[in-house]
Amino acid sequence: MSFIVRKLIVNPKIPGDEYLSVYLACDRRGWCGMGGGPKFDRRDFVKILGAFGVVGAGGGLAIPIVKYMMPEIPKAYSYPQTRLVWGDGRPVRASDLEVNKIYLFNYPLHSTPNFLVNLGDERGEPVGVRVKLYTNMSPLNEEPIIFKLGQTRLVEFNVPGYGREYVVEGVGPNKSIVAYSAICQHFGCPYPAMKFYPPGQQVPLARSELVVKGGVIYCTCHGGAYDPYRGAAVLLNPPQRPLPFVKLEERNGELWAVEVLGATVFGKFCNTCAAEEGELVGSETVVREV
Amino acid sequence: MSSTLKKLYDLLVERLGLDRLPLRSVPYSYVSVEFWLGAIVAASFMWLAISGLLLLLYYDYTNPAEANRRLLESKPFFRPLLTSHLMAANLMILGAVAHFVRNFLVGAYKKPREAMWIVGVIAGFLALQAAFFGYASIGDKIAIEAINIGSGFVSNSFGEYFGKILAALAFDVTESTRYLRTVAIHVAFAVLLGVVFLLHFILFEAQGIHPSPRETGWRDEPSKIDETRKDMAPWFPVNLTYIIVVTFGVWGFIFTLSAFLQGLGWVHQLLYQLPIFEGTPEGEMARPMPPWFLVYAFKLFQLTFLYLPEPLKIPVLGLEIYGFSALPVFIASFVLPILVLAIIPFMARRGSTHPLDNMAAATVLGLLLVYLAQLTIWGAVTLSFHTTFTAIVVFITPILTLVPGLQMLRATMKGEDINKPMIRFFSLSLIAIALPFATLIATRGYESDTGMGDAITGLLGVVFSLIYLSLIAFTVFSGESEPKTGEPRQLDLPTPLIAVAIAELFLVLFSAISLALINPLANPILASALIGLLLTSAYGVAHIALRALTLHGKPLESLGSELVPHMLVVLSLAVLIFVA
Repeated sequence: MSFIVRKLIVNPKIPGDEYLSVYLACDRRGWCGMGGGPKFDRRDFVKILGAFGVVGAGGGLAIPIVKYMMPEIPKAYSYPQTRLVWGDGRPVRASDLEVNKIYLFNYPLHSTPNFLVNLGDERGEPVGVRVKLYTNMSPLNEEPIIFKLGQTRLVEFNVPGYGREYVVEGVGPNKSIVAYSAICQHFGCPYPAMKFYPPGQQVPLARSELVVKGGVIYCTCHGGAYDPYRGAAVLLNPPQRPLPFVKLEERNGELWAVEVLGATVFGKFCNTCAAEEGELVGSETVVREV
Repeated sequence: MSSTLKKLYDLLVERLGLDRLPLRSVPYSYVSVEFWLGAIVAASFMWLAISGLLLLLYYDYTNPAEANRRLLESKPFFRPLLTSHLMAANLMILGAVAHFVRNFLVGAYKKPREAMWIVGVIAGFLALQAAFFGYASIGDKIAIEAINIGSGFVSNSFGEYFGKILAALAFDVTESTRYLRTVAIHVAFAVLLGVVFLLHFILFEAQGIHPSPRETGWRDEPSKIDETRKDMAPWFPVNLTYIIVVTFGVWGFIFTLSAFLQGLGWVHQLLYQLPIFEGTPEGEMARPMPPWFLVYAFKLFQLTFLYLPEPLKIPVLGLEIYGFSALPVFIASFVLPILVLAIIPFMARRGSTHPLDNMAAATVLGLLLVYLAQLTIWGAVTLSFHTTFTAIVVFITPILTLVPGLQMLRATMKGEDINKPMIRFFSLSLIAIALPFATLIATRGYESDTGMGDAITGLLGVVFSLIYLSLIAFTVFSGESEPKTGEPRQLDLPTPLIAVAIAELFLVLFSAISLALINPLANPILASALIGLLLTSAYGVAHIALRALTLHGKPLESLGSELVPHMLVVLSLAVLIFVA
């Protein structure tokens, strides 16, 4: 390394000279300065000034160009307060949701689908969730927690991580009803590439023994896995952000979506950024069975 | 030529200064496709520019998929134009690969042409970028996936904050104006590529053509052609005519190949020529896979062990930026290959342009090429995940074959004892062949398509390495034949060649008239094939005209080898019959 540096900055034609400036001030014949010594004359100085000026101007244009190119970020609306309804208009009640079955609904935009699941164990008994986690985390590289629960009916857990802290808490009589974004945080593969496999259901093409028994949200695009019982924390990389959590509320027995917590929904600048209000779901959104 | 015509011609040449243009000329024996692979790339680029501007006339950014679907059905010659644009992009990238492999094999990357090599590598990178934004602008299923994966890729590579800004810069945040942006960036990259191309040409003019190893005996001095030698072909008319010949040949080939593949229909997604729309049978079959030249990166994205196990935390201006998980994948797919290619000239040794005298460069380049080929096939046949172990097997088999293979070839060339290198080559290659099978059994891979795909890819590492070794062997040993000298010179063209020229001129007329008469909307593939025939037969006639110009510098060979370039016309004719 020092050899390369010496080669770059030492002028071999002048014994003992180890300054880049000397090298720069020498002409093609190796003739340096007026008296043959290390001398930088005014002309050389101005040449270097000129070069810096041109490079500086080129670099200085970069910021205006990027600022010009930057698209206008659409307005962030406030989260719509949205009632979940079935296709026939009936409101969705906690008791309507079968355990371990996948339901889908769009929120907060028409273009952002979410899973709605009444989480349960292998026997179909509901399992509640109250988990604290962060918007960024290291993949846990563990089995989904549902297989280690034993007789506990409520998962209370703190997932370590970075960034903003938030709490995922289920609704319904058993606190077992949760909703997560159905768009993978890695490269944006949506349902059905990414879906929920209830505990006991074999995950086809699973890339790791850890997730093969189900109890996970698994993405077949690049093998990312999330634990829905731990607030959709990341089990297997490549994703390193938990799935955004759609906060639900029970109002007079009906389910309402009120907010999105955690990381931003994949591909969105912000969760409610929209060119016009019509892109948001409004006061009702339809829940579909799949 | 009558005397009036001759006078007019001389006047034009004199007034336009055609005979003293300040452009490099080459010896007559260099007027062959081996030395003009770069011209194939340039001709493809030229067609991309022309067809791209024509396509832009009807480009509708509000809904490009719907517009394309409508135009394909209603606009005469839209389909031949669109498919030729896509095919020209494929051919340009293929041609660029051939161009740089050839220039490596003959040592044209060495002093004083390092800058030319590096500018070429940059041009290749820009071509990939332009191609990405091109197919992202079509608006079909693949384009939607490209934008999705592209924005995910930048946001996972450069941290969530910068990634979002980059994604917004590239793909916009509102969908209604998204495709205006992608197409503008596509054109911007193409223009930038044009500028870099120009720089590449200027460097060519500065250094001249690389002397053939047949003449230098693989020595790197002299590195330039002696401009005063007697067999230099004048730039005008020989060089110019050959440029026209190559251009028409390439353009004709683009349409012919495109017509052939359209005629085949759906064979594999990577060979399908039309946009893949949602809600069609093709849309059902299609996987979110990029065109073939990016499949290697698509496969690298699936190697999950390449991602960072933990997100990085980087403090910037008081903010903590998280993420960067895909940064290693980004480096592996877009930084490392370019860096390796760019440093190739500096790995070369003085004295010889021979690939076997520059073993470090030959090994690194060989491995890079084999890995890219392996990843491409791997990505095309398997969509799934691999354990670290099976992936290592895939990447180790080429090393086991290629490195001892090069040593064996070197020993052969040097006339050394080749027993030991040969035994080493065969035993290590056997291990390389056995490894995928052993892995298959050890991991019970034969039970799944993925395991089989991994094993096949591992074996392909051996196959591609052998192909690379035979390329080198072919270059080395074909370079030893002396150029033919002292043959009697025949300065007139034989009658059969003139007959071929007349026949090809007839084909030009035939295809021109047919193109005017057919209904291009009812027979779009036939239209492609006819345009192909029109251009290739023009190429054929021009090629014979070129022979008339180069006869006194490049003596006539046997009729068989003189007719080889005209096989392209026969190919076009065959494709025309196939699609009709």
